[in-house]
Formats: sequence, C-alpha cells, structure tokens
Amino acid sequence: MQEKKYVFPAEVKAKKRAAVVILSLILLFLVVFFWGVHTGTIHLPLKRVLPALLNRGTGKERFLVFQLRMPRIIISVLVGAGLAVSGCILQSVTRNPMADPGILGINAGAGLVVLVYIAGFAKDSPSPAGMSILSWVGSIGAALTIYLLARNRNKGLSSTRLLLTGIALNFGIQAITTIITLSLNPQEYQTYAYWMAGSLWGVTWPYVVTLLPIVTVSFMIVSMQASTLDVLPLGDSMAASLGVSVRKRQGIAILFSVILAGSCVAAGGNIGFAGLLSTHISRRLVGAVHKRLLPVTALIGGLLVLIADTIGRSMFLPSEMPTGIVVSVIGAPYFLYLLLRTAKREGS
Amino acid sequence: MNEYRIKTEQLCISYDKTVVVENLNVQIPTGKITALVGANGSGKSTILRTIARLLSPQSGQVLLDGKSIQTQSVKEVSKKLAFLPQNPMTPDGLTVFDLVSFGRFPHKTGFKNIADEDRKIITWAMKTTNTLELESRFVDELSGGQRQRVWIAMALAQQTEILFLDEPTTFLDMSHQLDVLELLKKLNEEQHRTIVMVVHDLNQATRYAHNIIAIRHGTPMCVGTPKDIMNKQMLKDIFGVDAEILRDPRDGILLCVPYRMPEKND
Repeated sequence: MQEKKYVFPAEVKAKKRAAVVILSLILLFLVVFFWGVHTGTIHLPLKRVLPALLNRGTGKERFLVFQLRMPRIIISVLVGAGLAVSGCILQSVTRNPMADPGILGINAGAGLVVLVYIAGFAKDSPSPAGMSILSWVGSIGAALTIYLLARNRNKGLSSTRLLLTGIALNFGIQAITTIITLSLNPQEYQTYAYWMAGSLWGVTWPYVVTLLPIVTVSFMIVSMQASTLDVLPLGDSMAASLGVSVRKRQGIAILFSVILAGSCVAAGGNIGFAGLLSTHISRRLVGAVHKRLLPVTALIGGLLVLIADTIGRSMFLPSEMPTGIVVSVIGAPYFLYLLLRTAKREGS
Repeated sequence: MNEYRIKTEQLCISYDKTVVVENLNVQIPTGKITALVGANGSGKSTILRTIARLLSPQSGQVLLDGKSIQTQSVKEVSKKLAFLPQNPMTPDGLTVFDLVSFGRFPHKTGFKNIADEDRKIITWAMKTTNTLELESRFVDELSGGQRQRVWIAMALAQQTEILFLDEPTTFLDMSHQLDVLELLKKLNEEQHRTIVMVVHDLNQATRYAHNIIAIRHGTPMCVGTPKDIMNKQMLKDIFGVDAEILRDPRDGILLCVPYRMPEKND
C-alpha cells in the first residue's frame, strides 16, 4: 500500500481530463473526416463514402476521394496542427498569451515574397509550387531577420524585444506590400488576395508528402522539449534556477516554431488566427502542462482548420470561401467570448 | 561538510558599462541563514543573482564547492542550489501540483515522466510548506502568502541543500511575512539548509539570520552576526538613517527604529 500514499487528485484529474479530451477530439475528427469526404462541389452520397475509402468505389469516386479530397483534408489537418503548435510554442517562450506566428513576421514575409513573384515574374500563370517554395523562403527570411534584430549581443534573445521587433518589421513589410499591391492589375491582385486569405484550393499529394514529414518531425522534437516549455514561462531566472539553459532552449523552440509556421503558411496561405485560437482553447481544456497541452493543441488546430476548410468549400457553392476567412469568422466571436469571460472573472 | 561551500573571489559585476560590484570577497556559511541587506540599488540582488549563476561576472569568480560556478553547467548547479526570484511569473492554468512538480525538473532524465519517487518528494515539499491541501487549486487564484509558500515548495522539491531567496517577504502582509520566515527558519534548523536571502526589513534580518552582509554601493560594509552589526553607525553608513537601537523585551534581539532628523541637510 506504499504507493497509495502519493496520489495527487490534481494529477489524476488532469490525466483523466486529457484522456477524455483527446478521445473526444479523435471521435470528432472521424465525423468531420467523413463529412469532408462526403461534401463539396462534386457530391458523394454518404453511403458511398466508406466503400470509396476502402477502395471499392467506382473509378470516378476513387479519383474524387483519393486525388481531390484526401490531400486537401490531410493538408488542412497538418496546416492547422502545425500553426497551432507553432503558436503554442511562441506563447510559452515569449510569455505572451497574444503571441502567434504572425508576430514573427512569418505571414507578412511570406506574403511579400509571393507578391513580388506574382507582380514581377509570373504575371500570367503563377505556379502553386513556386508560390509555396517562395512563401517558405519569405517566412523563414522574415523570421530570421526578426530573430537577428531582436538578439542582443550581451543578453541573448529577449521576448519583449522579439515581440516589439516583430511588430515593427510587420508594419514595414506591410507598407512595402501595399505599395506593390497598388501596382497590380486586377487579375494579379485577385491571385494574391486569394492566397493571402488562406486557401487550400488545388492542394495535391506532393504538398502532403512535403508537409507531413516537416510537421511530424518538428512536433516530435518539440514534444521532447515539453518539460522545458513548462518551465520557460516562469521567467528567465526561475527557468535557469531549475537548470534550463534559457537562451539556448528559447532559440531552439523559436526555430521550430518558425519552421512549422513557415511550412504551413507556404502550403495553406495566411491562416493566421488558428495558432492563437487553438492554444487558448487547449489551455482551457487541459491546462498549461505541455506534455498534455501540445498534443491537444495540435488536435484542436487540425480539427479547426479541417472544419473551416470543409465549411469553406461546401457551404458557399458554387464558389468557395477561403479557409483563412472561415477560421476567422468562427474564431473571432469565440475569442471575444473568452476575453469577456476572463474580464468578468478578473472583475469579480 | 565544508564550512563555506560558497565563496566569491574578487568578484566584479557590471550592467552594460556601469560597474555595480567591485572586488567582492564574501563567504557564505554552510548550514546557516545569511541575509543580504542594503538600500535600494545597493547591488544586493545583483550579488545574489550572480552567486546563483544567473548573471555572469565581469571578472573574478564564484566558487561553489571549490569550483568556479561558471564552469559548472546550469543543470549541475540546479541540483545544488535553488533560487527563488522576487516576483516569479505564473502562467494561467497551472495547478499547485503542476508547479511544485516542476521543481523535479533538474532531476529529470530523458523522457521519463514523474515517477513515484518524485511524488514522494513533492508530497514532502508540500507538507513542509503546508500547501498539500492546495494541490488542486490554480496558482494564479491563490493569495500572496499561499503563493509564496507554493513557490518555496517548488524550490524544496528541487532537493537542493542551498536555497536562495530574493526578497521572499516583500509583497506579503505581516502575518504572512512571519509565516515565510518561520518556514525558512524551520528548514534551516531541521534540515540544515543553507539559506541566503535578500531582506528589506532589517529587523527581520536580525531576527532570523545568523549572518548578515550589509551592502553599500556593491561593497559589503559590515559582515557578521546580528549583534555585531546592529548599531547606529551601520544604519547611518548603509541606509543613511539615524536610528535608535532597542532590545526586544521578550528575547533580547536588537531592533532598530529609524528616524529622520528634522531639517537635515547633507
């Protein structure tokens, strides 16, 4: 009976809660997945979904499911999960609950490079692959610039400097972006605006093959750092006192946050809000301990973007609503609700 | 055990280009409570942080167990010395149990989750600080006094023999200040922990510390037992105040009552 003595209700409760949350999310995933395969411009009756998935459909059905819907569904989940984990890391490292990948200039940098490409080099037919690669370059480039500017020779990386530099550079990039945008012709502008709004249209298997390893490997590496991410938000002194090499660990965490966000923005455009929102929802569900927070954040992010994309491509037929906009439309009211609730709690 | 596990040798500390501390040589008696006192900006917190390896000195060194602390890894140091900053940050959504369990971080290896051995130590740390019944509460919902005890519990879970605290009583009311100081006294007496703390209230320092280091402009002006250093001259030199020194009628401990002479010009 020796073990019985060291049971903490808080720990048991947290574990149980995390298990329930993860299980429910997976169930929800399956439901949304079926709905996602079923719905869209080309109708696939619900009772045909399972046979088609089991490769027993007609040739047309198989093409629809495996060439059109599956890559898009998988990409939505990956993009959502990647952005969410990226946001989660940033919030912990900067100790700022409003931090999200956009703050590192990732979206703005990607946007600028894509814009220059559309305006200058591919006036008539911008290639999706080219846009992805360039937006990756742009996002990593912007993040790297901010990282270098925010670094202080003596004191390493300070989170306040990081945020302020990010905000400043974002404004700068946006100014240049606006100037170039004004010189675009309507068709070019539409291509750019569509990309910026965050659209997963035209996603194919090569996207999946590229993004899947990046997201999974990054996630695994970040998960190994879960307990470091627990300790970093307690402040530099506290973290160092607990044996964390603060600057080094912050640098590694930010690096992976950038890799994740950069790759996801490259594949899915500007779906910025997902990072901020998923972390907040998960924190509310399973608390702030990262071994539970990270996987739940990834699941929520994936689910959120999957739902948004499915809504975006099925409820506005015959046209499509860009995923980024649907995420914002779902996310903004919920986020306001969270803020109001917090304000109320702090007021009382 | 060594009489002085921590020593500084010709320690110089500077912020950017301003020299804060010059040629500091102090020794911290093992198994005793040491209080660093001094006026605001005297450099006492800076010294505490440098000795704890949180700041790098300009020159000179801090010796922990005879080895320069800068040559020891953060992880190594974190198994010997716990540091509680003045105002640690508490993220949302952390329970008291979560926070105290973070104290086990230095002893973590690889992927291993919290084991029963850790739970045993966490239980002990929480019992010692009287926080066990708070384990399911959220840290950001606790009162100041409860929170400070929880932070100390976390530091205890770190299982270090040396405990550093930067103004552990500053944001607390009188009764909770006493709770914290009595707890530190108990830890020192029952478990012989070496405690080094920055304290603002000189009377608390003389009541609870065995050894006092009074600092002015980064230099220790007086070092010794409370009896040795508690006098009018010290209060004038260190804090720039005139004071009456009284004896506590209950236990004979020296107390100071500072006052300001009217129309004093200097």
